This record gives sequence, structure tokens and C-alpha cells, in this order.
Amino acid sequence: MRTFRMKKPLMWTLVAALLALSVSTAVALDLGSVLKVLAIGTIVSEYGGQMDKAINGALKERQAEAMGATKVVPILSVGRGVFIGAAQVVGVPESVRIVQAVAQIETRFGEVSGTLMVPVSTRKPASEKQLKGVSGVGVSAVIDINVGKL
Amino acid sequence: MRQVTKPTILIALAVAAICAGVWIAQASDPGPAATYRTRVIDQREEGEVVVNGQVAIRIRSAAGGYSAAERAKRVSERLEEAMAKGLKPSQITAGTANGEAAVLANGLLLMTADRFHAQTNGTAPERLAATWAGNLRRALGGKEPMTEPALGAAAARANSEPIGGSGGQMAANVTASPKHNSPYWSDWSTGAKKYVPIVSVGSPGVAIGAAQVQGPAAQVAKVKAVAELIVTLKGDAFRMKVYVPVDSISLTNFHRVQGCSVAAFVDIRVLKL
Repeated sequence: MRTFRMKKPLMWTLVAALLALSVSTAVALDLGSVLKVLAIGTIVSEYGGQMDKAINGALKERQAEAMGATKVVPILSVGRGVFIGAAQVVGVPESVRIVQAVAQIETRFGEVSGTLMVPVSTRKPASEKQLKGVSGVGVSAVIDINVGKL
Repeated sequence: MRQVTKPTILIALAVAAICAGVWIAQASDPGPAATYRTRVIDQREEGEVVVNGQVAIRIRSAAGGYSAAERAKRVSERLEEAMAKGLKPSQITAGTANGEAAVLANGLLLMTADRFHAQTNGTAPERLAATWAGNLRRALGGKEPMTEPALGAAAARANSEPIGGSGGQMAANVTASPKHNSPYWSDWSTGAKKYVPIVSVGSPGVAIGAAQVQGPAAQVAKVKAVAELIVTLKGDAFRMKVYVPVDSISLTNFHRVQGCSVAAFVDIRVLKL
């Protein structure tokens, strides 16, 4: 009887692919979410200036422009350690320059949820206790990014 | 021939010496210590109050029937008059006159710090009055740092500095206009905090929540609500919720309160259409 023998490299590739698939299924990773998280940093770098101008322009039309420096940075979820959106920060120019992200901390008090937004000078996630905000800067806008529509 | 006596010569010499002394004193007098000058910026006339060669107050608009230059002239005249009466730097203070923040010289009005100038400088009238008073005191020999007239130079420096340095790639997106500079808002994040309602218009349904605003105590006290505006970019790819601390709950007639920002949100959705 003739037997079918698979070549070793091909076999190992298939095993690795099956393992990867099973792991990804086990942790229920949403590919769209993963891409979004990876893409946000790049998108903010690419479109941050346009977003900043659009916000400032809309405010200027309403004579509500902020008298401070502004910049768009990614929002970093402290609990998840990933980028989940973008935010425009406003404040003292020297301080705005050093802001790299806005750390978002979510809390819940019964039926009421709270979201604390802290401008930080790093893009690396830190624990809530280690989080140190940049003084002189606040949040002026929160931006939802729909990666699929870009 | 009449003989000139010694006492006559001495008297003549004394008179000549006195005249020479007066003439030298007049020649060396630099003129009034307080004066004014005009300058034109973007086709708009501005007046400057100059004290001992330093610009202490910059007047950017006309008011009360007086042009900016005329206002500067009136201020310099009032100041000169007060100085002639022995005004000391410590007697220049910030206070109120007719219910408005003002700079006072020994309790008398020098100039009001009106809302327009305060907003132009990105500060509150009370704070602007204090800044101007400090500048005048320093120009008259006090030891306080000049702040407001330094705005132009500081803003130009802020705009001309390379902004990519410490902040990396993201810093390249910093937007700062000449009038928006730190001497006016030393801090947008600390000082005072309070919770105000968020009123959202333009999104599906009516969302009512609360926001914590932060900033200088005088500014935070003025905030009555946070207006949420929706701005979209590239179709719906970027949906931006802009939060503006405002001085009124009415969304049809509100003004931004400068120097304040949002620190936190509390979401309570009570009606969704």
C-alpha cells in the first residue's frame, strides 16, 4: 500500500498555524480591534494635525477657540495597556509639547460610570499608582477613530 | 569811569553760577518719567504706556470715546500727576473702580482692566489688573518681573522654537498662536476643580452627564457647564467630541471660559432616541 508522507517543513508550518488559530480563538481576539489598537498610534501621527485644525476651526467659527497650545495624542487605556482613541489636549505650550498620550482610567460607582483623563508624557502603559500627569494641560476633545472608514 | 566793586563781582558770579546750575539741571532732565506712544499692528492702532523707558501697559482698543493712543496718553498723564505728588511704587495696586478691575495709584484710578483686554491677553480682568500694576511698580523701581509687555517676545519665541525636540514626533502637531502663551495661563490643570453638567447637542439623543473641570480658581468659578460639540473629519472616520467649559447653561448664547479644561467625565444617559 502506498502511503502519503508529508514533508517536515510543511508539517511544522501547519502545526504552528493550527496552534496560533487555537490560541487566538481561546482568548477571543477580535482582529479588527487588534488592528485598530496597532493602527491608532500611526493614525494619530498621520492625521493628528488635521484633527487639531478641524477642532480649532470649528471652535473658532463659534468664537470659542481655546487660548492655549493644542495637540492631538492617542488615548491610552491604563487597564488594558492599549490605545483606544485620540484626544486633543490644551494648555501651556511648554507642557503641551511634552504630552505623548492621555491615560484613561475608568471607574464605576454603582450605575454611574466615571472616566478620568490624565495627559501623560509617555506612551507606555503604567499602573494607576505610577501614573503621573503633566501639569498645565487638560483635555479639550475626545476623538473616536473608525479605522474601517479611512 | 565807574569802578566795579568786589561785592558786585561776587554777586554777579553767584548769579551766573546759579543760572548755569539751573541750565545744566534742565538740560540733563530726561523729561517726564511716564509717557505714551502709539504703534500699528495689523493695521490696528495700539497705545503703550511707557515708564522710565519700559512698556508697562499695552492698550489694544478704543473705549469710552477715546482711541487706544488717547487712552495711553490719559494713563500716562494720570501717572505723571501722581508721581509729581510723590507716588511710590508700592502705592500702585490692583483693585476695583466702578465695579471693574482696575489699576490704582494711591487709591486713585489709573486704568480699568476691561474684559476685552483680559480676553485678548487670555486672562481674567482681575489678573490683568494685577499684572499691569506689577509692571508699573517694576518700571518705577520695584523688583517684580515684567510680564504682559513681554508677551510679544515670548510668543514669538514659542512660535519660532523647534517643537519637535523633547516631545518627539507627536510634538510636531502642537498649535500655539502668538496670543496664546503661558504667561497668561500658568496652569490649565490645577488650582480648583468642580463638577458641572455636560449638555450635548448634535448627537443622536440627548445625553446629560457631568464633567469635572479644572484650572485657576477664578476661572473655574465662572464655569457653569461644559458644552459638547461634535465635529467630524473624513466622512465619519474621525468623530470628535469637543468639550468647551462655558459660562452659561444656555447653548445658544455662551462664552468659553479660558484657562480651564476637562479632567474627567461622569456619564449618565437618561434619554436615548
